[in-house]
Amino acid sequence: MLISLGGIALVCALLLAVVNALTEKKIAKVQADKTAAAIAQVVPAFDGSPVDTVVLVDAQEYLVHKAMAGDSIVGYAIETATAGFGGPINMMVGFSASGEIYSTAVVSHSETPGLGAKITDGESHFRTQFEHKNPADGYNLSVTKDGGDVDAITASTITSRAFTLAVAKAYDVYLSVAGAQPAPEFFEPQDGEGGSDD
Amino acid sequence: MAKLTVSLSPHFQSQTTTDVLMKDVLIALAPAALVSILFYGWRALMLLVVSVATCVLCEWLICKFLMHKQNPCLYATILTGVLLALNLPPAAPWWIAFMGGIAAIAIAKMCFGGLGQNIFNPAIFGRVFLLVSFPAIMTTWAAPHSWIGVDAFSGATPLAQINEGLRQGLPVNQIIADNNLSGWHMLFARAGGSVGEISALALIAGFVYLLVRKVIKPHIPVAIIGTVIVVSGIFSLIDPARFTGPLFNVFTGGLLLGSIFMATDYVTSPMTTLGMIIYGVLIGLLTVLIRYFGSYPEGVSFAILIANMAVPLINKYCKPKRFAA
Amino acid sequence: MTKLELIKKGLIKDNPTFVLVLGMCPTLGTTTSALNGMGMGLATLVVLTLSNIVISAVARYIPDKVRIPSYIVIISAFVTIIQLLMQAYLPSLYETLGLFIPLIVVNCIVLGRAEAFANKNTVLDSACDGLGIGLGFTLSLTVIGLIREILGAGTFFGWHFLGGDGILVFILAPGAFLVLGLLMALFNKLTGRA
Repeated sequence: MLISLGGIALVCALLLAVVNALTEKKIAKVQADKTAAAIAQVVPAFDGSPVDTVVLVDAQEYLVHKAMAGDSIVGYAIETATAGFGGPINMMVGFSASGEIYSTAVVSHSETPGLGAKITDGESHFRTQFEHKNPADGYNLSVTKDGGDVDAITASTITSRAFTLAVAKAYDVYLSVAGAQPAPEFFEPQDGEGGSDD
Repeated sequence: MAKLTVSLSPHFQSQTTTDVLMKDVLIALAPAALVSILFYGWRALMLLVVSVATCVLCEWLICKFLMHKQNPCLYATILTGVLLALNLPPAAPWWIAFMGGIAAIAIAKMCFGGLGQNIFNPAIFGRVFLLVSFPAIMTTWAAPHSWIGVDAFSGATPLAQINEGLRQGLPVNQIIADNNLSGWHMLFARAGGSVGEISALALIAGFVYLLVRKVIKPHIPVAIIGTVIVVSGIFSLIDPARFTGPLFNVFTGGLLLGSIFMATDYVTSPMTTLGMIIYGVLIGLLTVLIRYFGSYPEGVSFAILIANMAVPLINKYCKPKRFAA
Repeated sequence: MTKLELIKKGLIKDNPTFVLVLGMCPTLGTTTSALNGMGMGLATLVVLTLSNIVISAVARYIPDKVRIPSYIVIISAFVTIIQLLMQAYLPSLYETLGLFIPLIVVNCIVLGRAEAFANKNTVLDSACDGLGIGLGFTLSLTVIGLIREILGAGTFFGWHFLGGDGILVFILAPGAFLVLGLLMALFNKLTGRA
């Protein structure tokens, strides 16, 4: 009894170990590709791979991907999440170096198909209305029903609010990152010098 | 003609047939239907015609080709059509009434075996089917303002206005003042709502007629409205800034239409007095809770559907005592 | 029974969805589109066939007392393998099916066939049985998914043939029950069971 059950468990464990070893790298790559695709979608064209930093805003951690072209920063892709109608909405929000919203991408969500799920449609008016708006120029990041500048998706106010809140949160994160970082034109990295830190 | 059994055994044979009962309910609905045509014009009439025609045709087809018999009670089918139309927003296009009619008759009524067999009220099922399927159309209300027609604009019902205002953090009395939503204003004819929800007075006139003709007993509507008054009264006493008061809750939305005409449907409501009261209290409680805490502003239809499910259980535990026991 | 009959039996006479009414959780949960239903059906088919083969081969060496735990270990090993492979090679399908893939372990069809068929039949017969039932399941889920997709979203295998949205209720949870119930009635009518 012990031998047969133990034997079966052992064989299964071995088999799983083999499959896991075979697929581990591929799965990690698939996930990394997905993040990379989302970043590429929301910031202007950049060189190499983005620089990742973790930022703490309002006691919450955010992952910020800085996209670089040469030595200057061309954009920030910020991962945020808010509670939507059917569950969490995970998003990637991109800002250009000047603080404009460049574009947005929905990484995962569980909104109602045909209603809130319209947030995944990148061509829709709801998504494009955010593009090239700068909250610093008075663009109010809340839906029109709440006195803001964002047109909500018909019959999906809760989802629209959550989406807009995610963008607003990302903007706060952007401010704290871009504020701490001297603007590119004033910042001259001095390569090869000051190596005493090493 | 089919006889409708309205209580558990022992039975008394009665001369009242289903047809007569259903005709009385239709007569009782006439004032509400007329007032709605008066305020919404040809659109309300069109919805009524399409809805009734779809229901009758759908039941005729299923009876003829799938069950090989005649429709046992045409008036019950017409009643479903009228109730469905009265539950639609006046700006709805014709195919909304058409689809709702098919859902009500084909799914909610005939799938369960037809007249007397259905668990859920067909008209309410039709409405909820449409509400879930076409939320944008089903929540676009038109304000009643002319004889000829209505402008389909994205207006909000009083309940939706409250829901929206509360989200913005406004206190209840300010929202009511801003939108001119007083209970007495709504008693006669008020802004925004389903076709048949327009006049509380017309619905109450129908209720009185049904009581006088002894078509329905008052227990269910009284239990529902009483529960709504008590529960919303308690909530509004606790925090009047967040919760609307009893008067507002009774006269808004589909509460009167639902409790008088749909919760009292013989087939889908309990048979004993105690059962009726339990059923009414359940609907009233669910309605207030959905209105206060749910994501939909209106809860009467959902409350009635949920209570419909509990009816077999209520009947089981509220059997009348046997004479010999 | 010939091998072909064993396979055919799973499609109609012992159809797992419409006749045996097993595995209702994935049936209702994953059939929001024809492709999702088909993906779930195929994943179950692979697990079912493989577990049927292995269980029928080793059944006589397993003492009765640890029968069920042994079967579950074997089934869950196959499910985990499928899950890892899907994650690696079909990430988008894996994302939509999500939680339902690990749940194949507790799908009554898989354990049910192990108990009712695989442990008392030959390896080849068990493979055919698994294949037949798996195909029946895949076919049912694809049909349910297709109908829900056409009515609820106006698409056919993802191809948008209708502008705008469909009757939303059909791709939401209640629609799964409605379509399943109506199809079951139709199936009974066509096979003369009613």
